[in-house]
Amino acid sequence: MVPYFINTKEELENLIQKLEKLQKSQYDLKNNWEQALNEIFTQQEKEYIKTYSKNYKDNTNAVTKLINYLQKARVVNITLAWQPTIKQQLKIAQKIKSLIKEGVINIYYNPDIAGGIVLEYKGKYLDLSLKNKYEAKL
Amino acid sequence: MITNTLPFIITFLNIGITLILIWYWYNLSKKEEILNKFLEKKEKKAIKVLEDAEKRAIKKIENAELFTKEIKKEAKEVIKKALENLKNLNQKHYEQILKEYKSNQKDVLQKLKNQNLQVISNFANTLNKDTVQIKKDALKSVSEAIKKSQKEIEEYKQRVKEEFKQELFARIDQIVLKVLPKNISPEEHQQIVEDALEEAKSLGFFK
Repeated sequence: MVPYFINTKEELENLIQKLEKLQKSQYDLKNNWEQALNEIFTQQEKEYIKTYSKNYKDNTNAVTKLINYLQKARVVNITLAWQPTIKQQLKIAQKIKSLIKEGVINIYYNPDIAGGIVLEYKGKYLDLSLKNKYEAKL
Repeated sequence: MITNTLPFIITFLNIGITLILIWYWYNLSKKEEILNKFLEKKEKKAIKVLEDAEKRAIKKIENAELFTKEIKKEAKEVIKKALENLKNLNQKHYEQILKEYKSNQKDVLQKLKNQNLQVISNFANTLNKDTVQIKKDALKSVSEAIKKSQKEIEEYKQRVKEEFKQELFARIDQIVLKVLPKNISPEEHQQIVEDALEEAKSLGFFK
């Protein structure tokens, strides 16, 4: 499952990069596993990785599987008319995640849509922007 | 174009027929002149015959020894009177012939003139009818063309109006869409997005 603290595609890619870094590092993931995690990841990330790796005997294998899993995570592309604050971004992401069960959002900014949101998910497209609603009413 | 040439055709025909009539009248006048001369000649000849007859009668009366002077005088008077009557009769006869001839000639000319006038009149009527029809058709065509043009102008005006309206609306849209986001607070944006996500959910977009 995509970690609860990963909301955007950017955050997800950042985590994957860190995991790849871990994978390529000189650390002995069997003996120096804790040290390696402390060096690279945040507390939240460490806890998530530890929880995930419990199911695997080999940490190296666990990291590889986790990377593969995260790379396949669903992405909802959203377009907004304004640049939301981190707090707003989080709220929107959590709302969307609650609707899709699992995945992350990828935010685009386009003031031309005037307001509302444009959604792209699983090859589908839905324009719920104010611009679209305004034009439809004319 | 046909409408313009018709009066010329009628005028041309009128002139032609008038020329024929003048030529005919001229020929008749010439014939009349010949007849006059002929009659005059005949009359003179007749008068001469009568005068000769008178002279011979008077001579015979004078030579007649049986007649008295009074009888001779009376006889001469009677003969003169008789010959005078003959001359008058003869003249009246020739005048009558001339009169009849002139009358006939006049009748013929009048008849000819009437016939020609009738022909011209019929022709002119036909042409007039055609001209009227052509004029009517031309007016109809012109009227239709004007109506068509008016319709096209109206359509053009309507199209321009519509284009102007569309252009105006497009401009208003641009302004509204530019101004609108600036007048919505981040909190309002947030709320609009959340409402939109609920709408997407109700539409089954995330399934």
